[in-house]
Amino acid sequence: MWMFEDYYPLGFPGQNAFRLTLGGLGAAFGLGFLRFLSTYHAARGELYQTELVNNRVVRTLIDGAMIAPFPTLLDGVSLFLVLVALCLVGAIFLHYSWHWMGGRSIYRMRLLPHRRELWRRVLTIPLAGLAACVILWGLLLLLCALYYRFATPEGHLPINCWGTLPFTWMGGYHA
Amino acid sequence: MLELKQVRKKYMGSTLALDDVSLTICPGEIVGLFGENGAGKTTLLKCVLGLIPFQGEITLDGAPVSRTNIARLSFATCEHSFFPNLTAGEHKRFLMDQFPTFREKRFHALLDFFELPAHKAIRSFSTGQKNQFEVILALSQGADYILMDEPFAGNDIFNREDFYKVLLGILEPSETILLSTHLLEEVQHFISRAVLLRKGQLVGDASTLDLEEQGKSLMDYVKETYHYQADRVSKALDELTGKEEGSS
Repeated sequence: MWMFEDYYPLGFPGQNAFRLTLGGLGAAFGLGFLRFLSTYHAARGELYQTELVNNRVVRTLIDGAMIAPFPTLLDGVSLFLVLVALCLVGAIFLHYSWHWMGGRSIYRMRLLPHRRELWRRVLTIPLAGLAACVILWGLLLLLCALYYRFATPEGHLPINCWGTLPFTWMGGYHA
Repeated sequence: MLELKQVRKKYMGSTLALDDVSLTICPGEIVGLFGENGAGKTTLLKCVLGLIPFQGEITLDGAPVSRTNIARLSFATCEHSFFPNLTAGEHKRFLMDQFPTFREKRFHALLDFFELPAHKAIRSFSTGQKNQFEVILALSQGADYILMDEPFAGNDIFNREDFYKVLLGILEPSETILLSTHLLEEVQHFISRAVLLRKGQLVGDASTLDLEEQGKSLMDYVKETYHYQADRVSKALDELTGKEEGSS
């Protein structure tokens, strides 16, 4: 049976650490998307003008106005995932130094016949977490790109709106 | 057979910790490793276990110590190599997974003998209990060569006496002990051989049987080997007292 504790140093609060890692990844993804929404909606707001028609304020699209290119709206979107990734790198050091806390269990780990046991417990979760960060970063960009593509009013996407990002398959050139 | 050939270890920026130490330890021996602080006892044990790099050669039945034969060596250290947050039972489960030769019966017998709780984290044990548990792990691993580095530091005399007796009672003929300690007089009836280190060099190696035949105690042998000056203290006191009298 898969146990969290098998992939953490012995005696390490693995279940809590695993929850924290999952929570951190989820929160980083969510906050990244919120950050994008905030930037995107500020940019999208510039496509509109307000007019007073019959004593009512009406928002209308400005003809020919183009939303900012997608890459310029990504400032800070990856920040939270980068922070989680840095924490995961720190976790590698924490997991290793755990074997010096309250004694020298590092000796016992280094004297095990299974060569990989120590490194399995030190590296597995941080490396899996880092891989998850990369995957989530890709998914986050995709989600943001989809939102950008389909939430932007037709005809208001600029030429080369994706910059160098690989989302041209979504269309968008004068969409 | 554990063989050390011209083992040499130099720590960065320090003098030689081990200087061409050659030693052969046969199965079934109980070897006491003696020497003052900094003599190289701990370094020697760590070299045998491959915990630190060294020059020279250390072999176990002709093969270098590596992952393939490391299970034949176990280590009990006063630095404690157990996992403080685990219970004794959790240690047993982990070590049984790692070492097919783990001696479960001996483990339980020793836990019972020392009245150590199986379901409490080791960090909550007293220092003496932690030492006992450390040695229990080393003795239960199922190793042929059991290396101990000052395992009883912090234990009271009754506790230590008990341990020697239990050890002698449970050891099998093929089990070998290499015990580094300062407690010369206590272990002299327990060991079969004494190895003396001084400033990284092997300066003495004698069987306790030979010493007995020569009518020497282990302490006599150690003092003789180290050229201990019995009148050193009285001379120093005389000098000090003389100085004080002269200055007043």
